[in-house]
Amino acid sequence: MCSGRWGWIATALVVAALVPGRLLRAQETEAYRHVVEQLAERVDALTAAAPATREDQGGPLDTIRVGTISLLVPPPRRAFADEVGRAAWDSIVSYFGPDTSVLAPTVVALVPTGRRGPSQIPTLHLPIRPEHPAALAIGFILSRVRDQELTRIDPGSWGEWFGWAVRAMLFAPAKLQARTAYSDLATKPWAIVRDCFAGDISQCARVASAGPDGPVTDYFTADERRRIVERVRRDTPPLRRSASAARCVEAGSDSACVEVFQEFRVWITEDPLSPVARATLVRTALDLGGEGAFGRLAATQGEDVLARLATTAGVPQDTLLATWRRRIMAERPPATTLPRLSGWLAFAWAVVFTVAASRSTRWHRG
Amino acid sequence: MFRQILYTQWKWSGLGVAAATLVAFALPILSVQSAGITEPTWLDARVLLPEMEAWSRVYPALALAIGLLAGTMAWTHDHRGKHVYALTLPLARWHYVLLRFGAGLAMLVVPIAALWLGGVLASSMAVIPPGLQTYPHALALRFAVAVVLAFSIFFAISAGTARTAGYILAIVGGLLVTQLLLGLSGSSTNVLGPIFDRMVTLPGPFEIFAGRWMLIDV
Repeated sequence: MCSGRWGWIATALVVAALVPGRLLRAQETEAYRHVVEQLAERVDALTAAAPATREDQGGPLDTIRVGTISLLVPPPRRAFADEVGRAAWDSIVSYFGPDTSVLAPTVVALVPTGRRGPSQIPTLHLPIRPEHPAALAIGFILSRVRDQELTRIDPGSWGEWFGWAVRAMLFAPAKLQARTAYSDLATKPWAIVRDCFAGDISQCARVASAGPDGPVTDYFTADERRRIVERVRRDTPPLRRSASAARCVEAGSDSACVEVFQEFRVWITEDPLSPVARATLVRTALDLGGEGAFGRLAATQGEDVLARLATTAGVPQDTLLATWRRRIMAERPPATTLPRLSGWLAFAWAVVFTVAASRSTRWHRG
Repeated sequence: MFRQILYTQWKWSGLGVAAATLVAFALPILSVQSAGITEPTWLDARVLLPEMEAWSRVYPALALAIGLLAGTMAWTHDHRGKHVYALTLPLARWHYVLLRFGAGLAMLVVPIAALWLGGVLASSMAVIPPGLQTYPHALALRFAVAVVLAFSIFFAISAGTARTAGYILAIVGGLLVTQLLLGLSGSSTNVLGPIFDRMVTLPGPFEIFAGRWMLIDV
């Protein structure tokens, strides 16, 4: 017993000798008290958070309903789910119109990382320590709604067309989309797009109904087809080996160019109208259609996409296209000009500062 | 009298203005380096526009820098000489200030003209994709107004007493420190954001520095 005690003392002395001197430097009692208080606060915070954390990681899930969205979340995340659910719902209402009864219910689970979500329900795993997970959760909910609603539209052979349009519609603000569509129309060199840009509504109808698999002879002129093949051929080995492509580019044979478009469609992704511009067309139709517009879109069928969108909008095709074009043109970015008001205001501020300079008191006070 | 003031100002800040002139002339030309391919397509337009947007941030920064340089240089030697030279002149204070301001403005014509010439030259050199346009004159006009405004701001600050400059610094520093402390304390309150927004939107004094400064645009 006694030898054991001396053993402990000897060990303690050896350890003390090995510990760097700076760690043994005396500290003020006040400093120790501060450290202890901080530790006590941390222990209290962790103790208080423990039940919520246990609830977060296990136990039943609560259901938060906002519109047609149901969110399954652990009880501690109710407030968060309520917030993101409302934000997602506002977004959905602004895109699909006020008649949301046409929307099918969407069920989504939001659970912390490490916890399994309910089976067969789309689940988003949230970070344990969320910094800004709201945007992530809203995006997840919107993508679920999009996938679900796409199945309600009979796309025919326009699946990709509608898919891109609805995706773009849900994830980008209307003004930004219209602005991007403006750049699209303003910079695409194809005659059909240039004519639409200049105000030819019949050309807008052709360009708007141009699908990625549409007949290329409808959308591009012979010269444009040759230029497209020439450009794609430069960077695409299969086209460089193609005899048709060689005849198209070198001999200027239009029939060879059409052959290349059909044979190498996967490589030639040129599309007269971008998905963003299509999204603006779908959005215009839904806006014009007002209440029940999305329901009408879902109820239409067939291959004539413009006719379906006109039915959705409840207006003739020409009116729909003219409104669509007008909205895009209205979002022309302000070019590098000096608006009169800005110029005069800058001048007025310059005068104000100059007067302030002339009234400085430096000469009087040194 | 104005010629004398202009001469002294040129002696004090001629080198800085020359450097600013060189930068202003080169800037538009450098910005169109990628717009030189022989047959640009709409895809090139998609690449060129973001590039132009990136360059567009440099123009207002240059306008501010030139205004700062010219505004502070206009008073440096007066401050250094404790304003003895100005006090020996048979002029009222406001008259002397206007002469100094006018001389500063006259010197600013050189870098503004250089930017305009550079813009015109760059526009003629660039092969731009269809659908895009060049705006050398509008860009130069915007730059001119921004330079004059920046010059008047820094001219006024430099003309003030050390106490005035101290107040301005204290306000700006105080706002920065407040925002920093709020951030450190975990608060999401944004003090600087709304103030900044007010300054760069109408009728704020810095509105001219915001917006689009694109030499090539849709």
